[in-house]
Amino acid sequence: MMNIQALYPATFDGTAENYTAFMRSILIKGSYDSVLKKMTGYKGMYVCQHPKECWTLKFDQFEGIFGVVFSEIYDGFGTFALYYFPSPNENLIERFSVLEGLLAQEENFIDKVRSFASDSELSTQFYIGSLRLHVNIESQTMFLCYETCLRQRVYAKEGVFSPWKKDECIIEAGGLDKDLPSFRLVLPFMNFFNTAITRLTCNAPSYFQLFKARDYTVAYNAQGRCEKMLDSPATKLFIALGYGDGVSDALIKPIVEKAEAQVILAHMSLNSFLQKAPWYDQNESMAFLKPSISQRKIKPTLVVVTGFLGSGKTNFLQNYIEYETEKNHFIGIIQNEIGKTGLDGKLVDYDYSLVEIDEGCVCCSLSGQLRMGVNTLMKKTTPDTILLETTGVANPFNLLSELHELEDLVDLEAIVTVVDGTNALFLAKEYRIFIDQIRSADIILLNKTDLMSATEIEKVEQFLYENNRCAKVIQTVQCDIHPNALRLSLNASTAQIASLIAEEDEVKYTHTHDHLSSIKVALPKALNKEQFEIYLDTLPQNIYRLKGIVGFENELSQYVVQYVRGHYEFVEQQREQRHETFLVYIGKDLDKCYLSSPY
Amino acid sequence: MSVQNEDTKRRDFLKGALTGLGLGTFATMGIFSYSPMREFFLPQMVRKMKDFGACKSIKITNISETSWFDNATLMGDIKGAGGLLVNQYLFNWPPFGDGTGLAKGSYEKGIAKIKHLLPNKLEEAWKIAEENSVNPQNAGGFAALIEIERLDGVKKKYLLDTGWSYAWMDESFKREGIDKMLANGEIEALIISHEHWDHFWGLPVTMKYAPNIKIIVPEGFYPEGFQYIKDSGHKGELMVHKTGINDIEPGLCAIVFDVPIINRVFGEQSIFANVQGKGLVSISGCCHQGIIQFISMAKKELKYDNDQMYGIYGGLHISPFDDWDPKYDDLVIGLAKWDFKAIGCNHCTGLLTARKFVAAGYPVVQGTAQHRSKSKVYLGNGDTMVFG
Repeated sequence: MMNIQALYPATFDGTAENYTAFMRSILIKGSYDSVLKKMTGYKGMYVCQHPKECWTLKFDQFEGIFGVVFSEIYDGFGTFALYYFPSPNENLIERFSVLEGLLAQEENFIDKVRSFASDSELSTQFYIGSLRLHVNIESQTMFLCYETCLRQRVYAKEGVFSPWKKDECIIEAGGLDKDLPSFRLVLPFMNFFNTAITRLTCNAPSYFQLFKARDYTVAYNAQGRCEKMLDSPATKLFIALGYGDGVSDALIKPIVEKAEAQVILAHMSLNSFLQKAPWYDQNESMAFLKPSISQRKIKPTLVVVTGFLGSGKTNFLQNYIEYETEKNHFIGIIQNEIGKTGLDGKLVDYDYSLVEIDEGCVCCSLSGQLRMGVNTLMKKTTPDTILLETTGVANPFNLLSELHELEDLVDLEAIVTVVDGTNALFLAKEYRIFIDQIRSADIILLNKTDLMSATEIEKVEQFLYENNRCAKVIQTVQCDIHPNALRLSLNASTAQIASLIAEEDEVKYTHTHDHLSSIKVALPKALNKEQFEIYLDTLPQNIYRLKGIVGFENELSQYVVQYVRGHYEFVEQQREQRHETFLVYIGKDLDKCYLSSPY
Repeated sequence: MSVQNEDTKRRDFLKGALTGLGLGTFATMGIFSYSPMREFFLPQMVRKMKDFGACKSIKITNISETSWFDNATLMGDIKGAGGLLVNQYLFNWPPFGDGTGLAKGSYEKGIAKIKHLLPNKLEEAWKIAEENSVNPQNAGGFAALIEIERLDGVKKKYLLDTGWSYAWMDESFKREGIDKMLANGEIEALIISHEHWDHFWGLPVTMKYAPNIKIIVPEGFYPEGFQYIKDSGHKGELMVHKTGINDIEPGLCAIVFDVPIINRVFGEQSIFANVQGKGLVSISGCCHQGIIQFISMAKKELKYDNDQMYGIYGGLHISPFDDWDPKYDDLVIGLAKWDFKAIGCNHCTGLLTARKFVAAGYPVVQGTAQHRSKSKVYLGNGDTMVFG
């Protein structure tokens, strides 16, 4: 039995206001479900109330913003329009029309997106599909029909020319102005929305069908007259789902008949298609996630915080806890310093779960202690995030190779290093550990910039860059940074690499959409440095990060290799430190491309 | 490779284009927009400006803002029970503990243990609840007294929310003299902002002193909530405020928002007062849908003096969920454009946020940090604030 009240408990009469509130309710409830967020890559939403209500959402692996707005009641369905507003720099921008591309370059574009339904340009462009929703309280059934096309194509019959440079042609005559893979863009929202309904109502869909119809593409001429292009066929798709008992296709018949649509697979059963869909099984089927998350409980993410004494780590932790608490997220903290008076209840006016573990040191392993710490926390509850505050003593590089042992308990997110900008250049001369903290970071918070001149900031940033070309440097005052701003600055992180370091060769993670994966290659013998540099210079573009420890012929020390999109550096390790040598490649479609050996 | 060249060319053009050209320029270039979307009928923002009268002043006494004493314990319980969507009546929190442990409770089994003691034998009832509940020592509660001075000088009192722990709320009521006001019939009505445990579950304490008081709840209360009003010994009028604006008396109204809130609660009402010559004052329990939403709604719907957002009291959430752009996820920035003259915040606002307000030069009213409130940065238990 479907329970629609679980989605929207108020009176429902099928009015425009009802459908608007119904959608709002599902979106908001969905945002309270941390499992759903992880399953579907859902990253956050904004509700715009005025002048016209609309919702914007963000999903993992997509740089742009998704928009949803109620449009009308039509044929007994509450209809919603779906949008994708690309980020001005993403590759997809070229698939949109030139006009949309130009709109996206506007300086306040992303601000306008927040209330896109009140902007005539934005609400007529960037459209990717629609969702029809039918809710029947009496029979406790729901029907959804997504309508989109495989590709939206628009041709410019007479071409498009630059207004500044005579004869500079942007689109050749008869060329494609727009070639947008709309269906692919509707998928993340569809995946999220269906999964949300399934999880909130504890009810799998009882009806599913795909239809396709012939669509036409459009060409416009220099006067703006549009005509259908019959020689360039396109495909329109209808994806229909029903929830509840006794749902039939009667509702959708008029729609698909009007479009002369055909059932795509006559024999497609609900089960065969839905086996892989997370919205089929409310028991948190994790098919879409990396294999490591197989247990029912979602693992907390682990953020490692390093930084020299007085850098502002305590401030960082306090702010982090505060921001997350406001969002009803639960933070656990592990400190490996005993007797430190930074974080106690009097200072942080927030209580949190705190576990202290014995001081680790450079030479001994922390991971046994860490594991105990994490277990102690997890016994009480499951935090959304665990912050591990390290001492200035533990060398983060050592920690790196130990973090992987926690893979079964936590998802490593990042190593965040807090740097006191006013002291950085001095500390760099005095303490090797300070340099190591910088080198191991995924994100560096350059703190206390309010106490520094522009020249000083520039100098320190240069120094940070010289020691870590891969990390994102973020300037902060009193370490005030929103946790989500941190998350947005991460791409393939050390944490991912760390978890691979001591594992067997060829471990793969497949991320949901973009086939991001990593491969570890062991290096049994020393490399020739010059050849290796040429090798790095000619790495294929789909590899955008490489990290590891290598030995070079005729060199006593080992080196840490850091490579990001064409830039690389070798950092000499202390001579007494010996690690196994290896490289970890992170990139797209690694399984499809041939990786040559660095030898 | 031609595709790639095309792309690069287009990318370069987009990057180099002067933006803000407007559609006129596009036409000269030969660009036209084809979109399957009809142009939306874009509604003009019509401000309804409902005139709901005015009052001379509003005084608010913070009876208790400490909903719970240890946040980690509370969040741990919520996470442990299965997260933010779990029905609050299942937690096995007091007063509905039935001894079966976290997340295994129910309203029926919980109330059965204490119903016969409500509303007069609260000490005994709370003792039983303590024995059967999860983390009973963590329960506090939220309640505030609103005193409105009408234009003719007559003063009226309203109670906003009734807290959680019977023991803590009784102590707090006595401390502020609320028990006597209730018993003397000085309080016009008990207004419940929303059905959450820390605002509503202390209901028997109000019933003990004034079982005939009028109770006003927002639309969206669940059957358990209505049953609890009966089981607590309520004998007076029960009123349900519909979504939107609801008049209370001249100069005082409530706006109900039909939004889902964590742990299966639906709907929240905030109270608005129009203070003569000053402007609009907003009084809220939690602002679960985000203070900014509430304020913009009020601006659109209500008419108030000087068209000025004058003051604000209560727990402030900017938004209950993650914004996709962290830049906007900051109450300090969000409130800036409204130019409030007096801010009294507490409860779920968060101390660091309150400190940021002060640092940003907002007119935050300081408290005295008494009776288990944690800081002077905001209005704590027993502190008062006057608008007007």
